Amino acid sequence: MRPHIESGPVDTKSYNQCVDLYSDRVYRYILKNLKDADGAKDVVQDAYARLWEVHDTIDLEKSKSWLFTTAYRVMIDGIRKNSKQSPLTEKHAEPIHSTGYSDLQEILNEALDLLVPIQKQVVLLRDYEGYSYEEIGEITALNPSQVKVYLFRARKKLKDYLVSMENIIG
Amino acid sequence: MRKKIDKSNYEEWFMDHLDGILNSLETESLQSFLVLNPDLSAELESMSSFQLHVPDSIALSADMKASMKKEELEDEFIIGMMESDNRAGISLSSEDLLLLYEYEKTRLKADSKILFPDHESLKKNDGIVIPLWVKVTAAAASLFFAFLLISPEDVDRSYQARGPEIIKWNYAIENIQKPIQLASEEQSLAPVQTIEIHERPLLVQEKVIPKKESPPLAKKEKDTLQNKAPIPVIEEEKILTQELPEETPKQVIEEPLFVQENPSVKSHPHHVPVSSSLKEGKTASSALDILKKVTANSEILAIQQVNEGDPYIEGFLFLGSFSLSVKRKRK
Repeated sequence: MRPHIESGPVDTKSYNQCVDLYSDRVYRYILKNLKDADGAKDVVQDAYARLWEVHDTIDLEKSKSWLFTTAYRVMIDGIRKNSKQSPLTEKHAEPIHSTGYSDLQEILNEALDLLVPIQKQVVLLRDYEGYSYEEIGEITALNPSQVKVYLFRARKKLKDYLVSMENIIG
Repeated sequence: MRKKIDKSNYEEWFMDHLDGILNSLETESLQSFLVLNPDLSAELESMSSFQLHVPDSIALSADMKASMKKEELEDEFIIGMMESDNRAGISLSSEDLLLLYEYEKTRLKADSKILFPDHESLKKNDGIVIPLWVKVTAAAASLFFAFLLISPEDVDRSYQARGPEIIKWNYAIENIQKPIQLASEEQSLAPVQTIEIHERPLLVQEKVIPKKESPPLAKKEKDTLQNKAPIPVIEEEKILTQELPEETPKQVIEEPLFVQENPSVKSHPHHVPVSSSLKEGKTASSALDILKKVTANSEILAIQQVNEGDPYIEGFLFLGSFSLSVKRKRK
């Protein structure tokens, strides 16, 4: 369930409310992508610092979406600067046949890493935050049709991976 | 022969009607039943309105579908089902249900145990922000204050050249808004302000070195010292009478006092009054008055230092990130 937040400009109190409501969510989303706790923390701090810079011009209702959008862009900029990571290329990794999975989510998290980064973003925003296609499009700078396609492909890959793992595990 | 329609089996009749497999007689029976049961007629209507389609907002575009294989189209339909917020009334074949079940498993769940490590670092305070110009003005006022307090002959230019020594710190603060108490011997000269201030926890402590024990004092001297009041007033102390070795490190115990501008600050039960001081009158008061105006609510920290065997008193005034010191001859 989405927390209710009233509309109006972001003041100090509501800014702190945004910290309480969204910082964990943004952090989880970024951490899932970066897999680096320090890096994710930096991104979140950067996003909130930027929110504070413009807080009096932002509608409180849009603050969550604004935070996710900013965090996403900060993360992408950071990844681009780091030549070791390539956010826009697809990983063609073979399924990792680990043993001892504790639950479905664990397998799913592994499968998530096989997705193209943009597919991963779309699935995370959809499943973690329940964003609509339009909202995901705003955050990731895609149009809704592109979001649909990425989501479709991502789901299919995840499903195929799960089926293959079930076949292996028996 | 089909059993006559009644309230126990009407759903089966409805489904067959929707599938178009009722003959004309059976259709007439159904219609007669609906006339007698108008509430069920509404139910049939609602069942008829079911549409087996994925909402446009969820479905892929026609171009995309055109390029898909048959199996992919099935998947697209099921994924559309899965992503749709409203699936009420949609019936699926067992195969589709199985496929939907497979896709449902791909939903990710956020791990609620993962939390941002330091929420407080992100938060902002509602505190008063002192503009830079106020700080700069305060610094200027501080310097002005210093010049007013120091008379040229007081300046000890050889201060840096002195050898190692043990420094004892006492404290004094002046505040012009405190009710004025005039010292009898100074009444004719100028108003004198007194304020009681309170020690707050140690802020900075550098190089704290255990004090060397003083040589045993004569009994009379001991008694005299024990009878003295705990700390207060700035005064010369003559405890250190013997020469210290040359390499004795300088001991600095800095216990700054936090003094709020509001002179009505109540004494805290855990805070011990440290000292009160008498200051010269008008000139210092005017300087403080200016200082007070420009610093608004900023913190003023003033301490006064008494060096053993030193004929000078050194005073420090801290204003935000600025500080100044003043040296005066002891009287």
